[in-house]
Amino acid sequence: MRVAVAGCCHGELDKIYETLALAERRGPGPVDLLLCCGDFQAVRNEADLRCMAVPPKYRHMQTFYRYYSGEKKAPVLTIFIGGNHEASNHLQELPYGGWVAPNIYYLGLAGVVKYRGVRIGGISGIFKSHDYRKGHFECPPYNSSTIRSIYHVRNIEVYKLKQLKQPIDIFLSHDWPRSIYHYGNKKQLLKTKSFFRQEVENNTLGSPAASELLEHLKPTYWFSAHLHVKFAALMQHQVKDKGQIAKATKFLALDKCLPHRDFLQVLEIEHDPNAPDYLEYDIEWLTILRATNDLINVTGHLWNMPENNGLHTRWDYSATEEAMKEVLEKLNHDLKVPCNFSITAACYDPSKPQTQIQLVHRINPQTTEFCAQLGITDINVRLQKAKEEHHFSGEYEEQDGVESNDSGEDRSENNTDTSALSSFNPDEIMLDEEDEDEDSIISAHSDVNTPSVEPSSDQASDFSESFSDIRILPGSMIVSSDDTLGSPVGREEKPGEAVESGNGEDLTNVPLKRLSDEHEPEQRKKIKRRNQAIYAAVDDDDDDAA
Amino acid sequence: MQRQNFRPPTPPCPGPGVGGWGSGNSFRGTPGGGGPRPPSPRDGDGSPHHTPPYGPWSRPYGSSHSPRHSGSFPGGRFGSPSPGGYPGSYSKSPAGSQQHFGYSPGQQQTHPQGSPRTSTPFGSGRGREKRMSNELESYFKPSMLEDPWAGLEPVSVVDISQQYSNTQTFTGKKGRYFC
Repeated sequence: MRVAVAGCCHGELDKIYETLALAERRGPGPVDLLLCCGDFQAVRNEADLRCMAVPPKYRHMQTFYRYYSGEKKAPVLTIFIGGNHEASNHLQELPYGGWVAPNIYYLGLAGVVKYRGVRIGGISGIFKSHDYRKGHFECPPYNSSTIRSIYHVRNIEVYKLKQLKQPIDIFLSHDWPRSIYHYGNKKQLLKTKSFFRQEVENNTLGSPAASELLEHLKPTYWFSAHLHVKFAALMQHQVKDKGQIAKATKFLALDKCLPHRDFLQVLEIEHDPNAPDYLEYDIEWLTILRATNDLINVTGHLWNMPENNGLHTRWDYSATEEAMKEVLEKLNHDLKVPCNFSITAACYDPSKPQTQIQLVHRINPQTTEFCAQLGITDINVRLQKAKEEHHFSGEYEEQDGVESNDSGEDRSENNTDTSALSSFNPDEIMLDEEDEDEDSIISAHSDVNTPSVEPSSDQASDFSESFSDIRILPGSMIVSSDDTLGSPVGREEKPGEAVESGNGEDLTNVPLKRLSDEHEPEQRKKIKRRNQAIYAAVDDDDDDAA
Repeated sequence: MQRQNFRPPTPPCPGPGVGGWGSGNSFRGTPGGGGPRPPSPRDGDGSPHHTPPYGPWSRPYGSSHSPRHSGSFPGGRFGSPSPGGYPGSYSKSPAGSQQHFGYSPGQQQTHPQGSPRTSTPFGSGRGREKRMSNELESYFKPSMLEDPWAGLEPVSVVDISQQYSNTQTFTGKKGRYFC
């Protein structure tokens, strides 16, 4: 079957579908499936827009709402994962996946589905080490910290995916698996994105979680986005048993949806002609979800997943035949994903903009139905219960530098998502994703709300108290590590600019940088922020050689 | 910014499952008005694009596509990808399965960003169509249809692991289970 893959959508659904239509006309024929690797921006209304971690000037409604309302319909089955620019409150309603619009399916925090016999898995979000071992403690209204941590990959998702034993055909992640760049034309990549060089050479670019999954799952295809560059790689995995044929993964990362960019790819992928042509649940994945239901964690406390170290009674949550049969019985032997999309939130009406639309933490009926059928817990129900019972740790901000479980609940009461965001330099929201690194600095300053030395936007409020919106910059210009790598996205401008980097080692002897443009616009030296390039037109990307 | 929808609305897929969306939705797609459809011939294909834009979505979900691979379903796997080569073939689709997903420019929607509204009595519709067509062309690249792995040779994990050994832990603590 013909599968189209898209990189970062940034809400440009119309353009993607139009380009797809053109590709179908110019190519071998109609496409059966579109896979989108994140930054989908399923923004239904103004409240959703406020939950998107982007600078205000990039906060555009775009076109998704028309698909949500039914005004338009996706012309092809579309499956997507979340990235780091999403309507997080909307996606949060569907932790196990679900329809965000007719014919548009979100895979959830992590998920596996089947279409025409092809197993498609994915993990949403980007990797950030300081949030990785936390539970899913965030809920709307988000504060300046949780609006970002909400999309940070968690260990529980990786753990669940690592229980998969049966082969996966396609896997999606927003950020790249670490090391994947060594398996393709690295020279060309560094020619196009020269500021990746140090991290590529240090092998710190990309997500270690995704890399772990790539090594474990060895899917036939792995698609990513996030770095706004097209890059292909061919990775031959290690053979475990002699005599076996080595599996290989075809990796492809794509660019963002803009003119003249490589944001779309049409591929021929083998399928089972006898398999149904509707979206199906994956029985092995459902079984794993059931098995791991007791592992739900809605706190911000760091935790480790069970392992065979004498501390846990169970560490193997892989799907047994018996358990899979049980799940099949629960689903009445019908694995078809029900077409149960319904409009549950007000849809944006351009003629009647609602700037004060309320942001609520919703329980989505699709998730309710799914959980009821499978016999598992809706994370959001658990979250709401925890809030009610005040067992929700991390409610209160900690100032002592110990890792914070901040959901910022108290703060969030005072800071609606809009007010919290408006008090910070808009660019800080983007910068946070790029500048952290993975070494001990991170673990020592894992509290995103304390004045960590990382040039994180979360630091802004604390910094601003002592430095009056001057921020300490790390010494090196080059983003050091990996989990920020969303970073290089923004570093498409001149590398000599005063941009944050992430090694965090030399943080006291660097020039201070103004945080907020808003407060002293006249004195502000124009600093080109890295991430602006995410939303910039093609001619703003100076480094693009393509 | 509202993008113009160049894709005509598609009725529900006749198949089960995801095809059943249309019943409850009153999506309003391309209005009926508009100028002539710009030519967009399928490559090398002389068959007429006879499928009307509002016609049935005769998407070949397993029926009218030419077989893309031989052999039966190998019990869940589709074979290893051929290293360095792209297994798919971009052979021409049979005429009967072609879909014309053309757009109907000239509809009364918000102009693309930056495009001035023309007001000439005769050329405005066609001018707008041309601009939209040019804009769409700027999004499409022929490489979108080409094999992205062409010319690549598989690289072994063993070779890379020997060069880079810091892929395992993120905390830097040796022996710590990753998750």
